Amino acid sequence: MFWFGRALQVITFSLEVCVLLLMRRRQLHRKFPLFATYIAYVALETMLRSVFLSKPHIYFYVYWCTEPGAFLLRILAVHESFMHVLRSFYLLKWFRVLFPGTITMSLVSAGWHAYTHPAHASPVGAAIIGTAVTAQYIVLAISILFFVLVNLVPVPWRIHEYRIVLGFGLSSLAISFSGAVRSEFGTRFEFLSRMLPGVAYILALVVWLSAATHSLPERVQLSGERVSPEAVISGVRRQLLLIRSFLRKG
Amino acid sequence: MSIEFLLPVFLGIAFLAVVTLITVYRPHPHNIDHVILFARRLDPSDLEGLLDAGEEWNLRHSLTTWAFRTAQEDRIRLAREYLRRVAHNAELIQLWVMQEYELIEGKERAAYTERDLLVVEALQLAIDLRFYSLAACLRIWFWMALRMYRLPQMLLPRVTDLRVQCGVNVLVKYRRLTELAGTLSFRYGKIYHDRLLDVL
Repeated sequence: MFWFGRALQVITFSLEVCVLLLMRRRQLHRKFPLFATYIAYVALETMLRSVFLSKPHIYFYVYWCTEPGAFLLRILAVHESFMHVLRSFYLLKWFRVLFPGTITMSLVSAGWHAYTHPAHASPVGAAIIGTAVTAQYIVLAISILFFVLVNLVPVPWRIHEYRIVLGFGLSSLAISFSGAVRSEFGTRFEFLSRMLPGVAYILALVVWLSAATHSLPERVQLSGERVSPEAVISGVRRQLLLIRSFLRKG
Repeated sequence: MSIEFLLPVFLGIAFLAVVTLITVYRPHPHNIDHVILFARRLDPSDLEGLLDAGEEWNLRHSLTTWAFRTAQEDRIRLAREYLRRVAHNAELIQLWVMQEYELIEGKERAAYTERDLLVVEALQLAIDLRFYSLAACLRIWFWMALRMYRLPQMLLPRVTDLRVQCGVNVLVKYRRLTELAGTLSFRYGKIYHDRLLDVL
């Protein structure tokens, strides 16, 4: 189990670095700053956790100190892609308020509830765990909503955003599912509940890597766009000058 | 099995289903040519006549109960057809205008030209109308599924109630949307403008 965990971390870290390098090469970090920050943060976090993997006591503190930043960045990163594709929905006032409002309210309410009713943990620890679990469900819900809205209101196909959201969805699904397995069956499927999130995250990284291999699309030019009258006049003048010079030479 | 276990399972199924759906039926970009090709003709004055409260009141008081029920069934079917056309045309216009919106995406709102503002307004209207259509079609679906046009006269559904759904007045918004679509189509030349107005 230890070596499998170590191998997962090495693969994860290598893939994260690859994603970051590819994003930098394709200038994708400018378009997806939050996603790039998330990957950089997680790479740093993976490195830090790998260092303390053999020291469970320190690993515990490292894990829970770095986790809040990771899940907040995760939500922001998935929201960034959501906003890119479904930006037109933000023109609706109620959506602009309701959507981020619901996310914030869910996180605050889960954190507050866990803080005031801690079970088998300190209030702060319970709040972090409660918020982290809610954050996974929020990411999964945003991913589902994203694909449902894209189905419902067909929008232009954007490969980067789609794959970023797909990766987050897969990863969150695996984390939620493994948590549920652990909660339902205890240690009966321990290998599955412990390793599934890691394996799914590698799958997500592969999906993100496949997105990062694509360059940003060129700006769409509208077909049949009308040329301005000034441009037409200057074109005609240029052609008249050419004709005159040709006639003079003749 | 507990809800804690079933929730991620159901969410997982929903997630994989929508991802498969979007992968198989990938959305295609639309432009003004698609609007002209696929738009379904709808005269807003026909819809206005159908959603006119006075006309419905007249029918209710001049026809027998049985005749009014039959008329109301037809009127509900007609409303469904008209609203489907509204939804379809709003979708086409939205997809086309979204292409235009992509061009002004990074622009500051203060730097918007008059045309950019029209694009934003058209997009808002199209989305509003699509939400309206969803709500209205759902309502009609219930009327049809429960055969509510056979209820006693007092409980018969009123087609005129469909005029405003989710705070959206379909007639006002659809008229404005087609007007804006016409104005925006001038960019492509008069021929496009005329053809677009002809089909909408």
